[in-house]
Amino acid sequence: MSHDLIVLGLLVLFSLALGALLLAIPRLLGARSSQKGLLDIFECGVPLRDGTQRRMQVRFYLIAIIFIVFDVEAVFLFPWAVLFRRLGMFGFIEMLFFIAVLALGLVYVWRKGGLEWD
Amino acid sequence: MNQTTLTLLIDAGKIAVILGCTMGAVAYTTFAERRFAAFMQNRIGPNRAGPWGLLQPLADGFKFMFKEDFVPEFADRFLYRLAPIVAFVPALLLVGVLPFGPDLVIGSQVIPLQIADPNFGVLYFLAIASFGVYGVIMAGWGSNNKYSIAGGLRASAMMISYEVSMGLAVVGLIMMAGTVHMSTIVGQQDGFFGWFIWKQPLGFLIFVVTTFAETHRVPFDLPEAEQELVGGYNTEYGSMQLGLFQMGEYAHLITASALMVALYLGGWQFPGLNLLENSPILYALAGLTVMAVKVFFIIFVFIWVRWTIPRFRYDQLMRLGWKVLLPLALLNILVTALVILI
Amino acid sequence: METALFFIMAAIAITAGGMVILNKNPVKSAFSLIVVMLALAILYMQLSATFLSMIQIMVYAGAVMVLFLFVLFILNVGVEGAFSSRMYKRAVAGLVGALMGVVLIAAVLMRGSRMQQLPGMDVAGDFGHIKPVGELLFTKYLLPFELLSILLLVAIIGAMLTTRPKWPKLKLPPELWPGTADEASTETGEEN
Repeated sequence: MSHDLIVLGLLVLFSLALGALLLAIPRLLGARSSQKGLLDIFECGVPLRDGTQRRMQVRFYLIAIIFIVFDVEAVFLFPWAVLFRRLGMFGFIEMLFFIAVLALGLVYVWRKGGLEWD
Repeated sequence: MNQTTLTLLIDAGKIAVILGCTMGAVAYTTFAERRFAAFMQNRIGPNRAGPWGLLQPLADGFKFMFKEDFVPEFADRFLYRLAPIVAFVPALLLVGVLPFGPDLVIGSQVIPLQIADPNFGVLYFLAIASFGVYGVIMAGWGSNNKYSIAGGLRASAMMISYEVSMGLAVVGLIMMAGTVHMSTIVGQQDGFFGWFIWKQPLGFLIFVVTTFAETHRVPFDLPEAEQELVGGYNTEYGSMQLGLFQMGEYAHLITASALMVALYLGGWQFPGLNLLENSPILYALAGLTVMAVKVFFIIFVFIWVRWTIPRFRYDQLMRLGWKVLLPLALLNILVTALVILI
Repeated sequence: METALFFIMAAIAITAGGMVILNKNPVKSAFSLIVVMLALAILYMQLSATFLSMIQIMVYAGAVMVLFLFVLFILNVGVEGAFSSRMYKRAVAGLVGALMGVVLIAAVLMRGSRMQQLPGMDVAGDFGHIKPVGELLFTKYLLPFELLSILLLVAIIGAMLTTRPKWPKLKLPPELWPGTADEASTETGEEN
């Protein structure tokens, strides 16, 4: 197993421990009160209206799908970028096709109004 | 004590020191932000705790510690408790691959001033950055409050929109460097005009803008838009749980600034610094200082922007992310490719 | 050490996988699935597939799961809505699961000597790092790679078509337009 993996694992453990320690302090030192209303759902000075049972706009779904598609594109661009100088013109043309097809998708969504927020 | 144990101990020490320094920097960044804000708005700012108010961060920290720790009645207890940790830890994990300075040589022991230098360095920070969105979603859902959920959903949609452009902006840099190895990337940037900011100006610009969005800084602080969403995803939080979200944000600001310095602004390198190469300890210390100065300059710019530019509307934000930054990032890749080929 | 790490990660992955199906709250199931993805990423890392490991975190843990959570938010699936308490449905699901489990266990038990001769078991030191992966991808597997762009394009267009904000001008009578049935009836009501 590589040394890097051990060290990064140590970093994760240390960070988690730091967070847990900070969270534990007010449990020991913090005030104890049973103030009325402390545990209620927050609302701006009026009795609660509209609970959380509201549906969200479906366009968030579209954003998430486009995000995945371009994230996957970026994933393929990383090895290409590392090898770019070696692949030369050939690599450029093959990636040009790949990007062009995806840019087409972006243009399509754009033209159809999928990126509009009103 | 054999060499493996010694290396492991040194690594543990490095991690502890770096995390400690990051937390100290977090404390004083909050203070600097308040003092600068006061200065820019022609008022005094916190100056009562200690000389020039320098003990203010300690006072803030203690206040968090003595606040009541509670879980709202309708919240999902498990997710509500877990969310601050999930928001806090990825911000710290970003330091994992950052080079802070040249190798420190003490006797026969060579200590690289970097926690780990894996062969997937740039990918590591992108992977960690993609994880930052879960703290926000988890807090929003776990609080079970309409403001939190709306804030969480808006924040996460914003973060993923800008994450795409960030990843694509870095592709241009990787093409120039031909590697994803962090220490090599910093090593390539010797001499003032060797910095990648001069070779990748557009990429740098996109990276800066997306960093603002990823760290929830103004003008991209939609997650916490207090006028419309009360507090956004952390509305229901109090005590150290809220403190952890805020420390996480400042820690993210610091680590993201350090990342920007390492990738585009030459890291710990500075013209004339290699004159010191003969005395390794001095060289390492000078490198660390240069890195720190650059990082604090970037943090200052972040604070400056915060008190200068108003917040975007949500539709403007999405338009900027998808219709401006994404096409620009793709263009940057093509231009970089043509420049390298010609 | 390596074996210990493998078993710890495998145990985490299986426990979290169990949580995915046993949790009554679908949002918690999704969060458990993220833990599965992370455990898998660490297993890939152990196999020296560092590039794949990072990609696993970026795409699966970082992007696909965001989509899952968004869908759960949008549908606002409550605890009760997602869970069928019908006994026969549970029995069928259990049966299918048990069958698949038997197949998997049988496959592991029957691997015999073939598994040890799989190509790629003796790999070069940097196999699975970003450069060797890229070299294979842009030479040997170039055609699948280019075809993938078309697949992604189809995904974008499909998502756009299923969520498009403005309904197309279909050649259908107005009362059959999706989502406008209520308005049509109120309009006729006003005329009367």
